[in-house]
Amino acid sequence: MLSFTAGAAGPTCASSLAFFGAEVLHVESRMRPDGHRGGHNPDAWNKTPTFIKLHRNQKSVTINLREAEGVALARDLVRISDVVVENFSLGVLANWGLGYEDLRRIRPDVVAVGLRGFGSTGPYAGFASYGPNLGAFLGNSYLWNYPGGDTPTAEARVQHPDFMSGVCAAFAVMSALIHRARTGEGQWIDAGEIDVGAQPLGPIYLDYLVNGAEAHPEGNRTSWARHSGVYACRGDDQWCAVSAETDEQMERLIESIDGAAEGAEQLDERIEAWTGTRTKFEVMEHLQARGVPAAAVQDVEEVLADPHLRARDFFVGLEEPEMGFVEAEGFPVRLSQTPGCYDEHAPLLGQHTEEVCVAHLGMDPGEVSRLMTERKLY
Amino acid sequence: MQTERPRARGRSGISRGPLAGTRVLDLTGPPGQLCVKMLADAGADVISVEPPGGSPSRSRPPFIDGASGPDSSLYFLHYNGNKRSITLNLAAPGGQYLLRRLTRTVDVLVETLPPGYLDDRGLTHESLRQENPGLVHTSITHFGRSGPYTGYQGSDMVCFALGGVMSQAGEPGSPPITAPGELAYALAGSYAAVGTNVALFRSLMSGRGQMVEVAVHEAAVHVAGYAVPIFSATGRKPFRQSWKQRLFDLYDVYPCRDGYARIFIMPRKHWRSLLDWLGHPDELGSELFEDQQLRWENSELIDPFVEGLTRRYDKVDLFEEGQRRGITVSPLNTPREFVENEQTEARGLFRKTTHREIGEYRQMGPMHRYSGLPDPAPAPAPTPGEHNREVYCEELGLMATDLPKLEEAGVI
Repeated sequence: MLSFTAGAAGPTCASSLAFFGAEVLHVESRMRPDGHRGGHNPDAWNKTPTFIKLHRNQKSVTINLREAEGVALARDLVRISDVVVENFSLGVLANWGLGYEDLRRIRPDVVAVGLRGFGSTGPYAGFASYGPNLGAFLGNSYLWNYPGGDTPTAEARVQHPDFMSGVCAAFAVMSALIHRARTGEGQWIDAGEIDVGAQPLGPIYLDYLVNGAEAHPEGNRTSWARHSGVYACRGDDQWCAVSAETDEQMERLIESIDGAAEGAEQLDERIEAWTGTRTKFEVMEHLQARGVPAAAVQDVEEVLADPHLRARDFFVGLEEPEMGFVEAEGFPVRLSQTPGCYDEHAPLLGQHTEEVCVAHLGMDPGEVSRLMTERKLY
Repeated sequence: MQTERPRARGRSGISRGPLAGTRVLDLTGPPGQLCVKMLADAGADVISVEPPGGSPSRSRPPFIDGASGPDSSLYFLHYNGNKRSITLNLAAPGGQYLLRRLTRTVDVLVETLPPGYLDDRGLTHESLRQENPGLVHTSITHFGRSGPYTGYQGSDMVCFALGGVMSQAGEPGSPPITAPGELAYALAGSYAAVGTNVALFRSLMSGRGQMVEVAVHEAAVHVAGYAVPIFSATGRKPFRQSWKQRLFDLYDVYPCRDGYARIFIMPRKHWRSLLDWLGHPDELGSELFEDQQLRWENSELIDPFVEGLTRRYDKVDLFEEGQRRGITVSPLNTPREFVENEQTEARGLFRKTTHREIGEYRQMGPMHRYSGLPDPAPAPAPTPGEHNREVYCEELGLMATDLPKLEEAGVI
């Protein structure tokens, strides 16, 4: 799998399949280093925790695509690749002679996927975006708020839908590889982040399309649950989420806290009077022991210490050459017969350039070192 | 004896899309709905197995005209297009027998039953693999099939709370708030769809199936961004910050004449384009501001200039002018504004179809477009058991006269 990617969505597509054993060649360049690599500051390269999460198990090959010889090498790599993933701005790869039509001439059954915020067609196809821009565009930021909230959003400052669209693009790649295994045909996949990020909001959009109803923020109320909320527990900024979705869970909730009440607001008060004297983990254990869905709102330190995640070996700790031991999440999918793993640290910038050129392209080491010196493999 | 394998088909005949020819048995509730929607949208022949009387997901709002009914949940409609439906009672021995028979005819089984549920009914993964050695069996549960919380009760909000992101959402002093759209379930479904396809690919190559296990809890952690490796490497952790003050200059949202828009500046060249747009104020001339971290640390210096600019525009005009200049600007839309946006229209994300009760309406299509393959025409969700005769008689070989008996016995 050849990866011409930067940011989060493209690398996430590649690392999803690298986890399951795909050999991913991440093409990058010192001429234009990814922000996650450390940007234009060479002192920061190989020392960014964000890059680690996105590139374990991948190989780094540095190619300067502004040079004809660089492009020729990239084309040689296409010839030996099943999949090409890219998320540069629309037209960038085509300008280098690496658009889908070019790729197909080099490798007729190639599966190529282009991830772009607004997709690769339509009036916004060329627009620039990061995950948080798209969350705003979709209505996700607007909805992620308190009912009647007095700020434009109350969302977490995270990258959604970057990760989700990267993971879903990996699904699309596998769909295309399955199709190729059955028919021999390759494929171009147009993967728009908005098309992915819109999926979970489908019922809300349909309510507008069918009923003309406009959705507004609901905070922690779940419309179909008997009761739900997030409640203050003992300590500073400590909270527990409780959601009784069924009648049975509702009965158990009321029994557990001895808190029958008329109306949701009154019930909120009864619950909070009860949770306020207990730690969030005590609340979680007490309610879970009685069959009520409840969970502590964990910060990252608590997530890393989570006894359940630890028992399941979810985190992967590896020695990173220039950072030391760093833990990051595993890929949250367990296959019983061919389990994946992250067992290679994130590559140093250009770490595998020579290895790939010599072993995969059969180049002479002297030639490789000339191209490196001349800043073509750079 | 193996049942002869029926040809996979879609709602409107032979299915298309990259997964055409793949048959899927769907025993999912809300945590697995997106996973199966992805498979169906990619052309798989999905047979939804509902308990007699219909799936509990059919009682989820919103409803057509606000009135609940087995065929009027828009939640169900969104997630269950392009599928066929049969009814089957898993608690009845006859139902378990039929599930075994069905398992022989499919490539994939996706379920969101609690750990142990199928085992207790004699339908262990091993025994299903005996029926069909190539079977890909995908299990999506709140906490997975091992570990101390495995028997815990879950919900989307509960898993999201444990995952870490929720702790960063909401105003300090007020409860943290969960994301809209059951995001933890959507992510679990996305990861499960990848795992299912990886296992399916391997099954096609080797003839050997396997189990694919996804926990919503872990999916919610994985999507939390970079907090885990950053904390592990540096000990720094994100914490909740008020949206009443701007935390990150050139990330957070700015006021426009008619709403808000986000400007998110990372690369140097975007910053330079923004400076052009701002008319190069002397105060922002320092090269130090080319560094994102230094910009964030000097928000109060930069902000007034940016806000002075954004307040002169409507959010859509700011978006288009910013993008024309190569800057990542986006409007903060309501869901309606997203649906009616020209890009959404041009992409054909919502496509016309016809529903028994609604008549003609638009439903969300697939999330990906494949060059060589037509998109499957969207079809609305089936009614409960709509395809009982087709699947049980025409494909599984039961007699037409068996169906009333099975119905009477509460098996289907």
